[in-house]
Amino acid sequence: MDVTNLKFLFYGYSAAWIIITLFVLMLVSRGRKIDRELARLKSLVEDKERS
Amino acid sequence: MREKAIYILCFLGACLMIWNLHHIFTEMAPEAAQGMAGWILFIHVPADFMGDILYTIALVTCVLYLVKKDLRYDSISVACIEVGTMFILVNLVTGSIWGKNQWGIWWTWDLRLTTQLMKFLLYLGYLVVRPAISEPSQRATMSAFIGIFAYADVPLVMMAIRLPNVRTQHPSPVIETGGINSVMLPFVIGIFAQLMMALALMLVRLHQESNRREIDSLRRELHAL
Repeated sequence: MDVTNLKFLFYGYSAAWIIITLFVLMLVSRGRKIDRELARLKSLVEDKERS
Repeated sequence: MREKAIYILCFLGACLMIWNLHHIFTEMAPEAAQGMAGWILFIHVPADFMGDILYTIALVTCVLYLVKKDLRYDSISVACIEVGTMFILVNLVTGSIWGKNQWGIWWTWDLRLTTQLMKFLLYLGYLVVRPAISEPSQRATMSAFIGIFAYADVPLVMMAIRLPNVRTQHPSPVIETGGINSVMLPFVIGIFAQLMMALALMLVRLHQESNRREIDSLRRELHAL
């Protein structure tokens, strides 16, 4: 197979996958933060309602 | 149910991508002028296509929010715009790498490239402005206006290579140059693979937005107690 400019193909596909992976990691970390905040607020509301 | 749908979409997307890569590497011959770097376009073009589809859905939901004032439309808008902007970034970066191989430069202030960068920056502006407004309905209204305004650039990007008297470095779409038959399959499969990925990411993002709405209402409840 002719492998002319294989280097650029590698750069292109790697860049795309790096961007997608970083985006997914950002989503996961934000999701965890939102879940933590939600749990904290729910317990706060329960405490306030009880007292 | 939602998690199952996300896993199924990811699995289907991964299968399509692997099949597409296999097809590209085993069935296709590298293009004479570009060599293997031409295959970058099988990610570059579907990414732009996906970005534009998501921005169009966001435009509709921005208008629907302004008409109906239902925050669910705002959630769909932000999910579409965030995932769409990620795809447009993929398009810009892969395009730049393809351009370095083909033109010898990473970037040129060509009409098509500049309008595409503007589109990315406008929608990035949407995502940057949003968290600055804390009141949910105010945030949604402001975001809807920015979302509608930013969409004005989408047809500009499409027209940038079709306008008469405008010389552009960017190639014409293969569909208009008659070269579509030989490369049709990897493009179509690429679009479907990225569609699966976009839907999975949208489902995750929509779930986060619904949790965020719950956080807003809990904060109000806490404030009232």
